[in-house]
Amino acid sequence: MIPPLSRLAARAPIGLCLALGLALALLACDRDSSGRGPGADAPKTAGGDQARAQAPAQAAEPLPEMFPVTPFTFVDQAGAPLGLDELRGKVWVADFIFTLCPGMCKKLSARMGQIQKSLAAKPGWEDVRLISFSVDPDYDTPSVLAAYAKKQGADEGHWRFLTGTRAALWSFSQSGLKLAVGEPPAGHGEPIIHTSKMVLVDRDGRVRGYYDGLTDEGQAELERDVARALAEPRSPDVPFPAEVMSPPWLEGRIKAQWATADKIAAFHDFAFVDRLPESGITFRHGIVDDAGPNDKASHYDHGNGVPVADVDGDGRLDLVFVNQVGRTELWRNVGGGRFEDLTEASGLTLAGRIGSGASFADIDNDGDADLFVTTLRGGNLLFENDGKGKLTDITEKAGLGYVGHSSGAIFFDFDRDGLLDLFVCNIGRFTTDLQGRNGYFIGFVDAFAGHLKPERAEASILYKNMGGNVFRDVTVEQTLVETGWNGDGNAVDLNDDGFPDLYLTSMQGEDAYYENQGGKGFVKKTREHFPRTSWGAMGVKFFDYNADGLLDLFITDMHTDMAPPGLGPDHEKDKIPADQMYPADFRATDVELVYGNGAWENKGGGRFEEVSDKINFEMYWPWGLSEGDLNADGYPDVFIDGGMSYPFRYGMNTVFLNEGGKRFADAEFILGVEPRRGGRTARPWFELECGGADKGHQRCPAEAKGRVTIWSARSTRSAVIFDLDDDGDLDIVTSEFNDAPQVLVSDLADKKPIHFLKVRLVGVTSNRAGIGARVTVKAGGQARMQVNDGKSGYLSQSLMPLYFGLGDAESVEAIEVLWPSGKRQTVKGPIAGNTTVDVKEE
Amino acid sequence: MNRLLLGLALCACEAPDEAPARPPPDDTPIPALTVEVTGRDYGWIVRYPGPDGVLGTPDDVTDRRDLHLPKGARVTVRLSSEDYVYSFAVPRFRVRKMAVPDVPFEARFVANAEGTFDLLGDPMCGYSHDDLRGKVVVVPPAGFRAWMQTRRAP
Repeated sequence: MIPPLSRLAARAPIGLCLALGLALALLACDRDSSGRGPGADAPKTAGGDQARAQAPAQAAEPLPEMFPVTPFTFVDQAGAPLGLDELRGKVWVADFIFTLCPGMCKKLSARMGQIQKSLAAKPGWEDVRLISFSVDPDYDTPSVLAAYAKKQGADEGHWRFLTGTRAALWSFSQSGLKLAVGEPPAGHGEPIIHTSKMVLVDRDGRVRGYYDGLTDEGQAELERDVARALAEPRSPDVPFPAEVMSPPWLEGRIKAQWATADKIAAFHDFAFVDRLPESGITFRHGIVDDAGPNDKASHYDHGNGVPVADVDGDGRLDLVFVNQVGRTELWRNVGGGRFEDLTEASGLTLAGRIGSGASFADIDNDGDADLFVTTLRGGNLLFENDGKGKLTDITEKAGLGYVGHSSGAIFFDFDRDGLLDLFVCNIGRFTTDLQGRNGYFIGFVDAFAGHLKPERAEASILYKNMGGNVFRDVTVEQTLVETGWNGDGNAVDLNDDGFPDLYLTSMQGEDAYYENQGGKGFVKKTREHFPRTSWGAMGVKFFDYNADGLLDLFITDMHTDMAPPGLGPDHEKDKIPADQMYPADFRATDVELVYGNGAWENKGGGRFEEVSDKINFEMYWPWGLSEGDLNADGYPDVFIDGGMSYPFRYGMNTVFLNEGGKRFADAEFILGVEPRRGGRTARPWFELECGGADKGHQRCPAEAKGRVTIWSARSTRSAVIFDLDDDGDLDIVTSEFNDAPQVLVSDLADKKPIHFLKVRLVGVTSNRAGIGARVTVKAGGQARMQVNDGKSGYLSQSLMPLYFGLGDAESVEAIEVLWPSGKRQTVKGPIAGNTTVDVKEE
Repeated sequence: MNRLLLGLALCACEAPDEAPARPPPDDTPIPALTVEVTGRDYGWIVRYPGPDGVLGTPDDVTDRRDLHLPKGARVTVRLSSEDYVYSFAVPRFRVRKMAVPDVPFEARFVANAEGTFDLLGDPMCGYSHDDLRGKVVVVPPAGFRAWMQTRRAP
């Protein structure tokens, strides 16, 4: 690639780059000499260079342990993802460069080349990596870096050059390695100022020293310390259970599924690739200790939601990642599959609360996406959007600051007054009053028997939107007092009276279906319509899977998978024997069970038939489900989050391709969703000091005297299906548990000409976003119906256009909308496909 | 029901050392037996009634992990837990129950087959622990009485 002329012209003389770099390096040295380490943010215990100044006399002293490197994943010069997890077990040296800076960077890279040459001749080289991070990633693409690497004589097996988004790399430099990077003083035109320090990171991902990358002395100190780090005993990685590193059943499953590929009666010649490194998203999910070293079987393991909406009004869908420990973050979609962190600028903060779910909705009908976030005993939060992405906390005024064990939140207009009301699912009191690290409330050891203890019941809440952004609790007067252990729900009008009804899942009991009595109250009619129930339902979504114009019900049920010892991911279609299911006295319900996932086909007239086995809707250990037409053939497909993580085996995510409304075909391997990027099934879960604070911990190996890292299975908790890069096909973004998200970008639009229509509703009498509207698109002689309910995944509600795959039809004959107000509206075609249509209520 | 366990008390009588001949082993049926099984720290604590035939008295016999039963007895297992929620399963007798703190459950079955069978226990949402996976040992009444005798020995 040829550098843009404007940038070359704008570039400062070579000397400036070097001089500024040196100045920064000197500044850093000054700070070091005061015992503060590499920069202003360095921990006081660092003292790297200071310690090394006396090194000859104290060579036997252990290297200082400074801090763990922040997890990262970027892309190397070969275009392959590389992150902290891949570098575990290696001793690595980092520097920051950019290829257009021929001054200091040139010297740094020359120095790194010398280090490569020197270390390659010494013992331990196989465990050494040299990592050069670009601070100018907009220019330094993998191909540019590949050419640069070649020029430097880099041994590509050992010396990798990483790029990503500018924001992510700058943030990593500043926060991840605590090295300054910045814009130059005004008027100089030099693109970037960065440090000339090199950083030593040990096998466990801890920074152990900073070194002058421009001097022989710095190199000598670095090489000496590399040798010391190599000589240190490696903290063992302890997988639990052992099979999570390489599940023995995985290869067989892959082969078995590929053997079915020719028989799948749905287009499947496309794939998803996890583009997290390219996306710029640096969000990392953090967990409370109950889900880690303290190992408590409690509801913290449900993880968090991941909704989307156009928060800043630029027409692109932005992402919110809710977190337990660590920041809940808002990522602005800047196009092309890239995102930038809008969290600080937006004002979104949970202020240390332990997050749960999140729902976008336009609560005040002003045309923008407001955000409601639920938390676990921290108080729920409502943020009003100013339309430009500035979120203001109006919780107190709104009256929505309930403090409890809240979960999914459902915006719907139950009384059809044109204002979106809110139903907040509360799980139940699964925590004690004792608080652990990071302020979370420690779970009861018998949390999963909470449904047997009436004192732990916690009713969910129905709030009526009174206007003026004020809500009122109307749970009792609307006779919607539900104390089942509700994780989530879905609101649609099932009896065609115009008023949305409500289906609620119970993770420890019988699901509940409430029929809306004309906005004047709710009556539970579960057994009238759904005479059997799951026991352990997580995900719920009504959609018309067979294109008969009727809404079918899909439920994902976890607990029937976790009950017996014999069932596992290698037997995903097996049903638990009845005598191995939780006994009736524990279930505390006398209703007949549906074993495994539930698929209720709507037969009309309020009758539903359970068809999950007939249509192959069974898999292993699900959380929620997300629905979308992944191959744009006009039939909705399904992505199901799977797995459990610590202390359990690896469980895969599932993709079901809809075979013409007749059944679902397993396709997660064929579509590249599994195995995960790099085949990674486990990750470091927590560390133990087996010789010290954690001595006697059940996971400390008998022989362990020092630090060990416990690895556990990766797993997903929620996902959202949307067209993140505006190329016309649907992509998938996941919320992982204790991990980075997956950004699964589809190449469908590259593989074949696709036809679709996106429909955006603008309510006038109805609520502005048209939540609750039924939209039917007629194309190619077929009608496809969707409800605009926003339900996008577990613990999540999104505000986004409806996506209709059109199959082979290139245009749409008509769009019919049944608005929540009761108005029927038809937009007559032909309407060109592959467009977004705004339908305003008339 | 515990009155039916008086048979157990009989085996408390120890044979005098000077007896010229050991009495034949008492193999009279034990029609019913109630035991307590309690989950504690990922393991099972099993409590049997002692010579008084009543559970919850000082002469109770306690053991860990395995469950010993006389063949032919109608068995009632009073299940509970001191900490976590555990499942308790004996597939041979088609038993699956839960052990929950403060919420007592009972498993009832007839030990109608002699042999050693799996006792499967696991905590919810996690792998099992060795101490939750034991055996159900069903022997003739005489053998059961003899085993009880060994458990009561000081």
